[in-house]
Amino acid sequence: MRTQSLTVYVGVVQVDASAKDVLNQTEPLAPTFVNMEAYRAFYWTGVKRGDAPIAYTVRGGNGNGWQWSASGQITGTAGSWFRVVLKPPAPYSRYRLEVSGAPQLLHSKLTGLQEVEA
Amino acid sequence: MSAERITRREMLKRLVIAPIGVAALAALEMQHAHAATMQLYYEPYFVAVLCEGRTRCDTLWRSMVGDTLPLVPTVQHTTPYDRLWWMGYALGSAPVDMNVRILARAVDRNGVPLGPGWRTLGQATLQTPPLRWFRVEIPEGHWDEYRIEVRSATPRLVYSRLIASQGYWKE
Repeated sequence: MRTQSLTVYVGVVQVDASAKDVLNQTEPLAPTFVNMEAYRAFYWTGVKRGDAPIAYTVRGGNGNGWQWSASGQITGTAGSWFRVVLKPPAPYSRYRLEVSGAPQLLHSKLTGLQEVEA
Repeated sequence: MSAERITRREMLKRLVIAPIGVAALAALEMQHAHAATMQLYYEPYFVAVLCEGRTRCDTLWRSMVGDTLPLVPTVQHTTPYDRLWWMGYALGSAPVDMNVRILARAVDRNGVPLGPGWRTLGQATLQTPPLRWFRVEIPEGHWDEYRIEVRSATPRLVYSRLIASQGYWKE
């Protein structure tokens, strides 16, 4: 098997105390990305514009609701780069990428990895 | 069966050399070479040469291809690669200490970096004898661009090659 990387998302979100996804959706059941079954891993990279840490939660699931989640903190001073590796235990069709923290902009990019026949 | 004609001198040479060879082999540590034991990490994967170049290494931080422009990446379009290795050697007749650092960043769909500066993946001092190869494994893959920099108090010509693999699931 070879891997193939695809850009899933590039964007900016204004982070604040209320949890919202990177598309600025506050509804906790709303997926950020759909039709994602083909992806086996994700690399979330970017730059945070404030000094305060940003809490993140990633959820994966399907039509029956969220079945997997991973959470953590993005730390670093203003202008620093971050990288989060996400490897869900199973392929899910929907993912939600949620952030919250002290007000600041978050520039980020999500690269997904698919397995393809060599 | 096949036979070969050898001289008496050649036969004596073989008799003397053979036991030494056996002893050396017996002392070697045995490693499992069965394909199944390697299957987990060594499925067929793709390796590419991303960059080759040389630079006269001096007290400035220089890219492995020679420039001193901190905004310019050494390699671009590296998103698919999950492992990168930097190999090279320094010319000269004496050992040399080289400071190296590996930087990375992500770009948007237009190729514009998501933010200023770089993420430093690592920084170290390589102590390399003259004309001896060194190898540095770059710990984080899937960044869009990398900048690989060297500097040394002793000016040296450094030859470099950067290779990358795709489909290597160790990380």
